[in-house]
Amino acid sequence: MFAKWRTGLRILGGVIMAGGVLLLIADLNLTGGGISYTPQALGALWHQWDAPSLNLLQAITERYVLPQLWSYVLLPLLLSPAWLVFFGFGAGLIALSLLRKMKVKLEERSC
Amino acid sequence: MLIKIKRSWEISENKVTPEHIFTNRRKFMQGAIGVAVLAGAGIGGGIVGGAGAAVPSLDPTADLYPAKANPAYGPLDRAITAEELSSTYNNFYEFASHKQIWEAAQALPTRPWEVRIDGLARNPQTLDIDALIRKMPLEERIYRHRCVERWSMVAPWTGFPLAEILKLADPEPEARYVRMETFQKPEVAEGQKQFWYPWPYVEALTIEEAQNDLAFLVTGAYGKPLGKQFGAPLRLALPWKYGFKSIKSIVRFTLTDKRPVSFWEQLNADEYGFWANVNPEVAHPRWSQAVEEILGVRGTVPTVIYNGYGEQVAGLYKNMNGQNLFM
Repeated sequence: MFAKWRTGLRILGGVIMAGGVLLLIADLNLTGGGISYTPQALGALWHQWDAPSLNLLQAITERYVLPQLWSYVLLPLLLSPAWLVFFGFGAGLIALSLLRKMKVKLEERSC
Repeated sequence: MLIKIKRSWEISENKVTPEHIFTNRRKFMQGAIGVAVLAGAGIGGGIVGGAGAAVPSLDPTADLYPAKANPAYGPLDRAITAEELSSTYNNFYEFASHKQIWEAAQALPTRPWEVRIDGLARNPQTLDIDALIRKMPLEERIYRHRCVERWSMVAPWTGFPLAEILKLADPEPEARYVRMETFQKPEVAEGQKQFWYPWPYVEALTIEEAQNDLAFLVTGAYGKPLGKQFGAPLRLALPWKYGFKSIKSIVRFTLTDKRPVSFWEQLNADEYGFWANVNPEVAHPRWSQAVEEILGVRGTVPTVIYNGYGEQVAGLYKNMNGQNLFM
């Protein structure tokens, strides 16, 4: 059961990381003199995709959850390069799946 | 068991302004201005006003308040909303989308402040806000305010008709709309750090709407200069429209022949359109507009078409078939 979850988590993490790599490639522009890098913020990407849902998330977070959650957690994330957030999140999921595996191994050794 | 959930705008009884102060607020403010003068001279100091009022004591136009009340816009069938409530429950999207932004709004520098009038105007100009305010015939009007989010209040605004700005501008014959724009200062207004939004906040009216006597430019509230959370130093009050049309902290008026796209229209035209006239029969896509909650009053009351100002404004929209007048 846990093994299936770990595998699922790793696949999901890998897909999200791959998405991050694709976004990074999209941020790179080939110019005459070389490559330029113009990162697109996660918020800008979301806004292009579906502005009302981003607006709604802000309203719900600030009004019904915690204004500071928006100011100090979500807004900095939204202002970060989208590729970095995707890559980091994907890597985090993979790390989480490995941590669980390591924990199980450690428990087996201690028996 | 009765579980009482305190609504965000509710305050405890001990914070409510005593009636004798509220009903004699003109006298109270005259005294407060006296304190402000002393503060300016280095005696005492700080801030004039109550909890959320936070009006800088050295407002250069403080001597103009309270202005004479215009009896045509006098007391309504609803009580004036206590200042402690209305000044601590605000929408000011440039700062954030929650209601407790009055403290954050104090960071906005409102002096020096210039107002530009341009576009299809025979007399384009840039005015210092204090010169503009002193040039205008200030009066106090008591207006209802209906937010698209279903809450409402009654506020004693001080200001002058928007038509006065049009007189200053002297519109070209082809001018059909007035576009208004607010400040752009992401360094003080956190909401504007979200650069993907179409800042600065923009709103617009037809020339006919702008010339209607109800369209009021506000420079003060509750008998004193306007608090920053209300949109100092210059905001609009359009009592027959949903509140988001009443743009705050205006820096520019542009006369144009093309209908401008407002901030909210650009973000979500299905929910916040150009006309946005109050109508209880036309629901917001996510909630009914049939009733409203008045700040400080328990329960709901029925919403009235054009927020009760139909007599003054319904004529503006005659024969406008096919327009989404109430969204």
